[in-house]
Amino acid sequence: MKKQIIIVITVLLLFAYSSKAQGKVGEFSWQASLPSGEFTDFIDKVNALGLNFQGRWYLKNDRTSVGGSLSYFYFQDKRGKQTITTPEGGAFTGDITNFTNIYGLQAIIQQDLKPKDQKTVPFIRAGAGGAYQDQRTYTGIYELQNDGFQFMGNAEAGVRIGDKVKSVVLAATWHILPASGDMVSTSFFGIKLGVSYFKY
Amino acid sequence: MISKIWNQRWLLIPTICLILSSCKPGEPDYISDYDIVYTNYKKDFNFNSVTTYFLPDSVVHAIGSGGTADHTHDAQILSALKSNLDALGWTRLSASGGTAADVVVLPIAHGETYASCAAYCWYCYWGWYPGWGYYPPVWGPGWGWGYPTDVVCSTYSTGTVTVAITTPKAAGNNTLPVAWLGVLNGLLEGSDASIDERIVTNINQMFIQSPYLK
Repeated sequence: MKKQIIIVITVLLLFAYSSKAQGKVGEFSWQASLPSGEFTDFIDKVNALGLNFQGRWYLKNDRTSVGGSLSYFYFQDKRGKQTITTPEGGAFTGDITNFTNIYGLQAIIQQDLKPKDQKTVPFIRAGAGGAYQDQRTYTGIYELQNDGFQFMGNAEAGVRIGDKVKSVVLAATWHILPASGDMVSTSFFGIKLGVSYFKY
Repeated sequence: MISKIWNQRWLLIPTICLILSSCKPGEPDYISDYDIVYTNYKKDFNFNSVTTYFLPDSVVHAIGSGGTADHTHDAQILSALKSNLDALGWTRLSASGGTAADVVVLPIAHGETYASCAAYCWYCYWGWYPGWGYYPPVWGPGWGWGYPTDVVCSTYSTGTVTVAITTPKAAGNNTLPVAWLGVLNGLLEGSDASIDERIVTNINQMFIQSPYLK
């Protein structure tokens, strides 16, 4: 998995450089996220701590940019007193708090739907890479932990508003981290607000 | 402004550190939030066949050498157990009655921090119960444990009460079979009044989450 992630990112970066990059852009964003799918069995609340930092290079066509991103997400769900059936058939009652920290590293490709020098530029974006996730459950004085590396993919649609250099980015996102080991499959929608800076 | 920030590349380092930091929830608000109750049972045991039980009039305290047992809450533990066992329709037999009970209910308090429930032969503490004499062979030192094989006892850093429903009639191979096990943890913290209240609540919970006992 790690090797594949490194290869994907390396290929994209080499592709960007070899295509005589037509400018580069950095972006920092904050995201509020809503869990979806099986992930709601573990976390079922909106969580407002998601951070993303990314750098991209524009290709010759001036509409496509590729690069990499580093992201962090934190989810927490205090579920209160719960009674659950354990895998061996027992029953457990306790005050349960689930939470997870996710650290993602992805290769990013973005397609602008208008020339990038316009004031309002809609875009679509996709990312693929890997993430380290640390899912934990607190109950009583005990802690259950499932952690490890997972594939992480995301799709995004948004708009960049600003001048040629500085912009504000608003986007809707969706992330998926398939189940791995004992970790719960993780997916979530998000609203992202960020700033970007171009350098030509 | 953005360009100024961007040009300060050194900001990347704290930014990455921020991203790589991890968060965790705050501590629970109340001591009772730390209370947990776990139960498990032997799947092939027919609890419908049980009509009588024996419950000792004392709670065994598993304490380390040099420690002293606190019996403040023993009466509450025994009272709560009796209420729930009676509610199952089972009849309590006395030690002097001369009749063997279908099951023997054994409560133990782990008052020692980091005590492990698996480290004690807790039923040995009761010594001789006259009713046990009816189950050949008579028990003695060297008898082993009868926990269901899938129960894992962890270490405890707070007070723990363990309750086992044992089936002496099925004893064999130096093992006293345990048909049902209940563990509650976190109770021996806070004021005596709140501890008593939580003892009742959590022993009741043991039986609420074990509907197959009826």
